[in-house]
Order: sequence, then structure tokens, then C-alpha cells
Amino acid sequence: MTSARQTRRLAGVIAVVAVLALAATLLAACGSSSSGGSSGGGTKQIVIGVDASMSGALAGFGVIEQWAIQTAVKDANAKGAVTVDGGKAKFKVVLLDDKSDANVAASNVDTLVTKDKAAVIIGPITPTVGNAAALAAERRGVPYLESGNPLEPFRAVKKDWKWAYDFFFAGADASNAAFAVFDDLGIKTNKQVALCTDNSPDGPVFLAGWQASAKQYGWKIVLTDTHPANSTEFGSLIQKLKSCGADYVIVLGDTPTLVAMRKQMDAAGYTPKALYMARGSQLEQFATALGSLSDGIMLESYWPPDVPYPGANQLAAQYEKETGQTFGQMLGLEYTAAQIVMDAIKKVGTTTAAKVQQAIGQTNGTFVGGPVAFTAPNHTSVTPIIWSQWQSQHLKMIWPKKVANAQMIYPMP
Amino acid sequence: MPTGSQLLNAVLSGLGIGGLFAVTALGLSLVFGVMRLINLAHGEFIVLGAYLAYYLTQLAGLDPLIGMLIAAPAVALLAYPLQHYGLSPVMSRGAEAPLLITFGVSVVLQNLFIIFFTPDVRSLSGPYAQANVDILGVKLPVIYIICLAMAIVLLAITHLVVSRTGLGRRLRASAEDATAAEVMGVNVRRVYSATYAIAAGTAAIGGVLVGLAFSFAPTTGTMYLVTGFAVVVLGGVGSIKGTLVGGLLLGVIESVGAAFVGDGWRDFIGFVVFLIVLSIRPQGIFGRVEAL
Repeated sequence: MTSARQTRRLAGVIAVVAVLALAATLLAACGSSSSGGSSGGGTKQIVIGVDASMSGALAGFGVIEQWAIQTAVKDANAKGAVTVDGGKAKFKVVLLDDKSDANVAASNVDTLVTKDKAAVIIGPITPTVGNAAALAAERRGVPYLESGNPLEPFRAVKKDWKWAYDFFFAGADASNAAFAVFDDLGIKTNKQVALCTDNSPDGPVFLAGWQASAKQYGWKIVLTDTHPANSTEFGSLIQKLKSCGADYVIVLGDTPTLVAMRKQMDAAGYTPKALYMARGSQLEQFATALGSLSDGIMLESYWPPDVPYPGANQLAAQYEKETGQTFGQMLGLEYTAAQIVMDAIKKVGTTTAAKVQQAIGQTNGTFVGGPVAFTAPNHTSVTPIIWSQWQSQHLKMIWPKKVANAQMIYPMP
Repeated sequence: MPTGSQLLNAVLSGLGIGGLFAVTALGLSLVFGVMRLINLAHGEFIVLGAYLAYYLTQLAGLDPLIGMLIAAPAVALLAYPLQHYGLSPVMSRGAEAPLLITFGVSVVLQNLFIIFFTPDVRSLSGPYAQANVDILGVKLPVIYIICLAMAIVLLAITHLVVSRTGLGRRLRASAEDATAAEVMGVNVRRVYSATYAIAAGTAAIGGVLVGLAFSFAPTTGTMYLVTGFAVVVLGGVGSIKGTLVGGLLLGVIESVGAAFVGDGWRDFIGFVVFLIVLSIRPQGIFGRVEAL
């Protein structure tokens, strides 16, 4: 082989590797996106930094978060520029993908603050990534708001938040509702429950809540199990569930885990009389992946279809029309998160971190995502729980009775 | 302590899951055995097979197992030019360049899946996917039986092709000594491309089974790539018989272990056994004595 031919070959190799690396980089960059207002002459841009899980196990949440925040910013900018720091400004979203990884979430917050000069950060969904992002914002001294992180894990990770705020349901309320629903609706069971949690940050919190509520409502816990967050094989657990005699099974997991578990339950000829699948069952893709197997599965919800908050139905319809996908529950809350941070900046007329942080803390109102007021301990606001159930692949509200729009299916089909 | 019935269930389920492991690992074994290449894009071929079967179901109403007969050749056809034009030119340049290229392909494919298919978790279904049969009092999911049967059939066919056909002779010659094979008139480059394509096709079959038994998303492939490595090394690199035995062994050990200590310890148990076997017999159960 001649030297020239060798050189050409080497150049070809380098070219191929370079093209692939470039393609990978460009495609990875598609995971981050920016959008926002115009920067017409004289109008500044206020950057709202967003960390969202656009890929990985939590990607279903990220897609919804991205649309909701970008839509809220677009709606706000459509009303005209705001007066901030003596000049006119519009809002701009800079979103980075954390790939459902806590380390990347923290790094993204650093990047949003230092490189993109974000005036405020909206964090990702679930404590797996949310806690890491909140701590990063706290270190940087930048106002931070998140939803989708149950309040107990958020409060537990830092005892005295200064910059970060969280509005979502309290695990205790969800745990309570998980058992109250039977008593309130007059559903008769053998009052034996199996608790299966994963080792994510909110796993121990949910487990402790279920244990406390089970005791409060007179249930006997006949099985407790913990599995890794990314588990997909449950042969042994399902055998234990079959033999433990529980009428009611509660499972915490991400969407892939819960889909796999439900499929394997059915394939093993096992269906509990009542099944509550927490966290990963909220998304439409859960019901789509399972089809009729999703019927009867209960979940904690906070923004189900037909929820009576101002503008909720219109927002859901708009999402479905623009994306062609059925909405997810975080839609209203993420839209609200964007509204809150923009209102805070507009109210104080500055992007000075301390003032924006204070204004966020003073939020008190009912938004499209429900009521928000940071009067609960440690910079938190409680979102009311609505107990729901998948019925014919539609999410129906079954409790409390005053908001219910369907009867509870019991036992599971 | 698990009961006798639970242990029996663990063994039978383990054989089924092991069959799935063997099918998803077969392509890795072939590529490494023939080309000495660790194909880091293998997991993405698995997932691509699942997606193709999914959309054939959605758009044409095809049962996933029927769709698999289209998806597998389609993925193979996509993989052939990738190897022929992307990897072949650098195969003689050492192990690093092809490895990096397959890594790049993996990243690109994962992101393409996200763009075109969305990050949503998907699942394949069929009447057999949720059925079960009673074996000695144990309700065994039919899908596990299908996985085991598929593994035996697929690996038997592969063994026959490799040992009894012209392509197989060329494949073995290329694996044994590529330079000598080239001298003897074997178009090694074409053999490598065919091997890569076959490997991708078998990965796609594994993907359909994964979609039926569990679920899949753009990044699911990584998990099966890691398991595939364990199966290939456990069974013996380049040994098709070893891939089947390694897969079944891993599946049974994980399931039986889980029956004793819980499903959360599956992966831990599997990899501890893997490390023990490797320390005692580094070449794997069937080593490379048999080769292909």
C-alpha cells in the first residue's frame, strides 16, 4: 500500500469519525432548545432557564414541560414587553436536556446561570432530577421554581431553602388518599395491602407515607418490597404477591417499570383486586402501552382531564391540537410555573435575584394549574390531590366525591 | 425461603428470560467472533426492530411476530451498508476506530429514535403475550416459551448456516485468519458486511421479543447491550452454542437468585456469577476452542 493511499485512507477514517461525531453533537443539541420573544430594536431578553428531562426514563414528562413553558412564555410575550430594570423586555426560554440524570441536571443549571445568564430557573419533574437541580440553583443564588417534586422529598433534601420553591402534592396527602378512597366510597376489601417501592429519592418517602396511612385506616401490610428504579423483571415479586393474599397492591415506579410489571402480572395470571401505580402511570403513554391492561389502575392525580381550574380545559385542548398527543397532568402545573416566574419579574420590575426570589415567595392565587401559595413549610405550596383511575384508557376522577366524574372500578377487570 | 412451586417457576421463567438474553446476544457473539469487533450499536438494532414491529402493527395491523419477519430483514438491510461503507475502511486500522464509529452510530440512532418516535415508552402486544400455560402447577407466560423456542430455533439455524453452508465456510475462514482467507479468494469485506447484517437482523428479532415481554424506549438498547456482553463472555466468545447456554444460564441464575433474595438483586446476582465464571474459566464455558 502506497503512502498516498495510506494518507487517503486515514483522511477517510478521520472524515467518517468527524461526521459521525458532528452528527451526534448536532442531534444531542436537539435535546436543548430555545425559544422566546423577539429581540426587536431596544427590547431586551429575560432568559428563563429550564432544565427538563427530554430523554431517558423521564422523557415523557420533559416533552410536556417544554411545551407548557414555551407556550406560557409565548402567551406572555404576545401581551407585549414588560418593563424591567428601566427598559422594555420580553422573555426567552433556554431549555437544556438532563437526560433523566441528576448529575446532568445540576450541570445544566450551572450552564443556564453562567453561560445563558438565566434570571430564573424552572426545574425538571420528579425528585430524581429535581432535587439535584434545586441544589445547584441554591449554590448559584438564583431563583428556582419547580413542580413535579412531591413536597416531602423536596423539604428533606435541604432544611432551609432560600432560593428554591416547589409546588406539588404532598406525599402524605397522596398516601392518605390511597386508603381514604376505599372508606369514602364504601368499597369492601380484606384490608390487606402489599407495598412495592423503588429506590428513587421519593421511594422511602412514599413508603413511609403508605405505612402510616395503612395503619391509620386499619390496613394490614402483608408484603413490603423494594426494587431498583430501572427494574423490568418481576417474576419473583409477582409470585410473592400471588401468595401474600393482599387485595390491594401499591407500586411506585417509572413508566417502563410499571408497564413491564403490569404485563408480567397479567402473563402470570395475577390481577389484584385493586392496584395503585404511582408516578409512572400518569402519562398517556402508560395507558397506550398497556391498552386494556391499564383499566382499573388507580393513581394520584392533580390535574386530570376536566379538572375545574381556570383555563384548564382550553390548555389541554390546545396541547392536543398542536402536538397531536393527549395531554399529561404536568401540563397545567408547568404552565403555571412559567406564569409565576414571569409574574414575579414583572411585579418587581427587575431581574435582581433577591427581589425575584421574594416575589415568587409571595405568590398567592389560583392558576390554570390550581391554587399556589407558598405558605407551607420550607418554600412549598400544596397542590390538592384528586384520586383518579384509568378507565378505557381515559383518566377519570373518582375521589373526592365532589369532583368525581366516574365510579371507581372495583375489582380490577 | 421460596417454596417448591416458586423455585420451579423461577427455573422455568429463567429459561424463558434466558432465551431472550440469548437471542439479543447472538448478534454480538457473531460480530465479535468473526470480526473481532465490539458493536456498541447492537442495542440500538434491538430497539429498531421493536419500533419497526410496533409501527407495522399500528399502520398495517400486523401481529408483532409476523411484523418481525419484515423488521429483521429491514434492519439487516440497513446494517449492511453501514458496515460495508462505514466500518470496513477502518477495520484494518486497529480496534479503536471501528469501536468509536459504532459508539457514534449508537448515539446517532438513539437521538433519531427520540426525534422520529418520541421518547414515549412503547409496548408490543398480542394474544399470546398475556397468555399463560399451566406446567406442573406453575403458570408460565407463553411469551417466555416463545422466547426460549425462538432462541433454540434461531441459534440452531445460525449454527447450521455457519457449519454447513458456503457462507458459513467463508465466515469461519474469515474468523480464523482474515488475511489467509483473503489470499484463498474469500471476499472478507463482503463476509464481514453479511455477518454484521445478520447480527443486526437477529438483534431486531430480539427487539420484538423485548417489546412483547416488557417495554421499550429510545434508550432501552443499552441495557440489553450490557446483558449481551455478559452472555457472550459467559458462554464463550464466538461460540453460538455458548451464547445459548450462557443466556439460559444467566436467566436461570438471575431468576432463582431473585426467588431467594428478591427481584432487586437480579442484576447483582447475575454479574457476580458472571465474574466468578470468568475468574475460573476466562475463555467462557465453551471458550474459543469450538469457535464457530
